[in-house]
Amino acid sequence: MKIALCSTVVPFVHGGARQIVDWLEPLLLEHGHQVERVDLPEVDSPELLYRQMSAFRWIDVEAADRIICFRPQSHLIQHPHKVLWFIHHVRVFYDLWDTPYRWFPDDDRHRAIRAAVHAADTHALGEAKAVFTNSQVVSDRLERYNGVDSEVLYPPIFDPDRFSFEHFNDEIVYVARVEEPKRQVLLVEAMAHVKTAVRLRISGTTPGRDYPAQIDRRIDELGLRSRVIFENRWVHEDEKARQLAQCLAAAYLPLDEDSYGYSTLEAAHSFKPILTTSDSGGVLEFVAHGDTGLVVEPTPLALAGAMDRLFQDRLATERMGRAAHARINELGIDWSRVIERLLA
Amino acid sequence: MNVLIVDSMTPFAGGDHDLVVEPLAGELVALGHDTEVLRIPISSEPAERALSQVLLMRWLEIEYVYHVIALGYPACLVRHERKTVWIHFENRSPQLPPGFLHPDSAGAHVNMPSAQTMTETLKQALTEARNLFVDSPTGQECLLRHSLGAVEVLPIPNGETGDATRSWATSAEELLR
Repeated sequence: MKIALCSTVVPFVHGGARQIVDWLEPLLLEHGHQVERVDLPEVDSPELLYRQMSAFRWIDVEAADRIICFRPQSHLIQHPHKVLWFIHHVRVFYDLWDTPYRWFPDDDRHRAIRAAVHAADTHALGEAKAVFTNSQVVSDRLERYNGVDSEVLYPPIFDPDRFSFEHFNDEIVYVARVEEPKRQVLLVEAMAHVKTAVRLRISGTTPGRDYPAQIDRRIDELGLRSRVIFENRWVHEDEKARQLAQCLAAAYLPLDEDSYGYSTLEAAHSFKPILTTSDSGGVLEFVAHGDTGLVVEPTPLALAGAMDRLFQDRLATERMGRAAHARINELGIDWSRVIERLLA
Repeated sequence: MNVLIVDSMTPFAGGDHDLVVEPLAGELVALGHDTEVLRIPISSEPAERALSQVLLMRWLEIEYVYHVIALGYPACLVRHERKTVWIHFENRSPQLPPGFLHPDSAGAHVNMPSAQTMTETLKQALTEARNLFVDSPTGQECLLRHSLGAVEVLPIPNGETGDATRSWATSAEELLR
């Protein structure tokens, strides 16, 4: 079958939205399909978005037997057999409208743009033969905002055997893109309140400079340089696997994330519990408090208490790590299922 | 620096992608640049779609990129403040709009207003370019007819134009000027 994998990208910005396509492509090739990648640049500015959406309507992938669309607004692409693995909306026009993340005013003009985006999205979603999402959170948003039914198809990670358990050291690791919604700085501030010898390692790349500088500044202001390692760089997959194999636990505390996030899954494959917060969205579909990790209020004090608990009660930490690993199968997170459903 | 190579493609058609894009991207990486490639699908048939493909390219937005190298038409239509265009006449079909290549035959392929629009849009896009390269004197002659300013010849290294002395390293440096 000729399959076009369609998504949008921000050049030179890498994250889960790219990985889901990068990882699916070789598996489809292994199954004997022809695959073409269609990555389109997109900028989510209200002034520019609708024009780009119009351009996407003119993308011609008729030569494909089926297209699978991922990151918005690739679902605008027209095809008689369009399948969506919908990973999120352009959220600033949806659930993030009434939040500080909306950087433009709530006026008539922008409300009109929002209405147009909603209408176009709903229409394009209705064209799809099937709509899958990466989490119940995203499925709920599709139903709420677009009246669209969807099926949750949890995205696995590529080659999970890369991850394994070695031992528990004293570090809680947070490997993710370094950007404000991931809230690494909250963990730094938590470190000022811990009572044990727990350590923190934050690593990852970033598209901007301000937030990494803020993290560095807080580490210095709080005198934590000896106990917090911050590496603002790309961490090689082997290095990440080693860090997770040896760490005490993994942290992942984005604000209202669309799904559990690959960071969560990588920790679970390493038999490590996940520290997250009660407002982390899709992460909570995977992490249950006291079972597969710890879920606490998004405050430095609450996080510090959880970090100390992970450090002190190693038996519970080990038990939660095993439960996190078992949770992968409970949720049916498996590539063979993904391929079966996307090609059904 | 971040360098984005923009090319066009016909899905599932294969083609001469590797002749230019991969060696160029490889050389840019070797020179120490973060390099990515975007291949935008376009349809050349039917002819009535040609104008929509022009608009498609013009309406894409590119951010977080320091330098764009646009290969051929219609990729050269993308907008970016630091764009270099390299059009190939020898090793690949330039696929320029008929109204641009042969002004007298414009109406034979699409209706005249569309052909004029495409030609004018292309001229605008080429004028925006920081540097404009073609791979042969033939291509240079074609583009110079349109008063677009300087048009330099930059053969594809080891290509059929016979410039075996030129390396991808020097070509990549030229394209980043």
